Amino acid sequence: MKNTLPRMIALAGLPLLCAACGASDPSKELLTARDANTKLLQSDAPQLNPAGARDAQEALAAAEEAHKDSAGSDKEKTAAYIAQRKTEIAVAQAEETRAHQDRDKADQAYQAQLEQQLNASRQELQQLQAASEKAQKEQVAWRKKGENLVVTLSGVLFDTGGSTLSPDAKKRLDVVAHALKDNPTRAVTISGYTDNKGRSETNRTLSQKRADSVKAYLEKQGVPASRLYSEGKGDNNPVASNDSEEGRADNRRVEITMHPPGEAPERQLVKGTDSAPKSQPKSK
Amino acid sequence: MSAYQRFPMQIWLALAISACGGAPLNQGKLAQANTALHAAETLGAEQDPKAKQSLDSARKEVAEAQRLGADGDGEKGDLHLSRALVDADLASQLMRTKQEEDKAHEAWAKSKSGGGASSPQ
Repeated sequence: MKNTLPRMIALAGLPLLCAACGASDPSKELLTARDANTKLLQSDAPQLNPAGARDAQEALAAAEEAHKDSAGSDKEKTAAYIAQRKTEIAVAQAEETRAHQDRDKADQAYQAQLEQQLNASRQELQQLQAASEKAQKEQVAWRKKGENLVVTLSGVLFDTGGSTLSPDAKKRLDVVAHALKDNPTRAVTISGYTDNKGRSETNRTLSQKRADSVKAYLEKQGVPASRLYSEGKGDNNPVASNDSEEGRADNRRVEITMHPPGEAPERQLVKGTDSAPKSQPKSK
Repeated sequence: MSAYQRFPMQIWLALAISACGGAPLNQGKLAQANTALHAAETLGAEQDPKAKQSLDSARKEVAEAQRLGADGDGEKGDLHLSRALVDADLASQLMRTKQEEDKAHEAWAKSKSGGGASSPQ
């Protein structure tokens, strides 16, 4: 009994002693965590990252609980430390979300630019195609000559001294073939011409070969051979002076004549080009 | 009445265990902390000053936890492992954020360069 009184006095004095030591005050870690959490809630992070903000809130609540249970303990300090770190993680996650949104915007802007460039390229291509088609049509423009329709092809149509068609000539002949197929009742005469350089006989032979090449190509494009006649006229009937290179280029040409419907070309040929060698249509 | 008679046996047992050094370090938690550390390292936290700070802090906490565990204070060591875990998580998150920001910068640079310079990804 003698020892009981001092013991009671000691027990009663313990909380006072603790209070005097400041043990019930929040730890430095808890104060920092609270401050960080307040800043988090004032920012837009909770909107960008609600789950992370909730985690940080829960961690702070756990730290507050630890403070109530054991103020100043390692447990409280660690819980506060964790709350502080969770707040930092929540902020970093929000920044990641913001960066992701920013990247999406950049990608959209890039896509829009590509789309714009693609549209511009498409438009340019359409314009080029239109111009090309126009040029092709101009190069194979049919003109009326009496009752006939005539188209003259000049420029680089064959290899030098040969009768192989150039790619450009083929393109133009595709347009011609189309027109011939649109007029199935008209017979067609293909007349080859050269300039006056070289021997006349050689020129005539070459012009015949070239006219034959054109005929073969048109056949290949689906124009019936029975409608096609070819003739080599050499340096006859020049359309320009053979004194200049330009004039000679114009004279090196192929003329394609569509005769009136139902009319045979024989009569036409007899009229103007009676001396020209002719290839007769294949009989079927 | 002697002291042995006044207190129940369980209390003496608890005191004896505590005198022997208490609970060991939670090995599962240690493995978790090490995994988190490794993840942060893999994300390149060593190369970023801010993330490295968190990574170093996590390493120190793990080392301290292991020291305390070896000294028989596993309970206190666990608290350090909890700190290590969030430190490592923060390092990883900082790296993910940085990587996303870098990608956003690249995307804007690509967009500003006129779009047609390289193919879209």
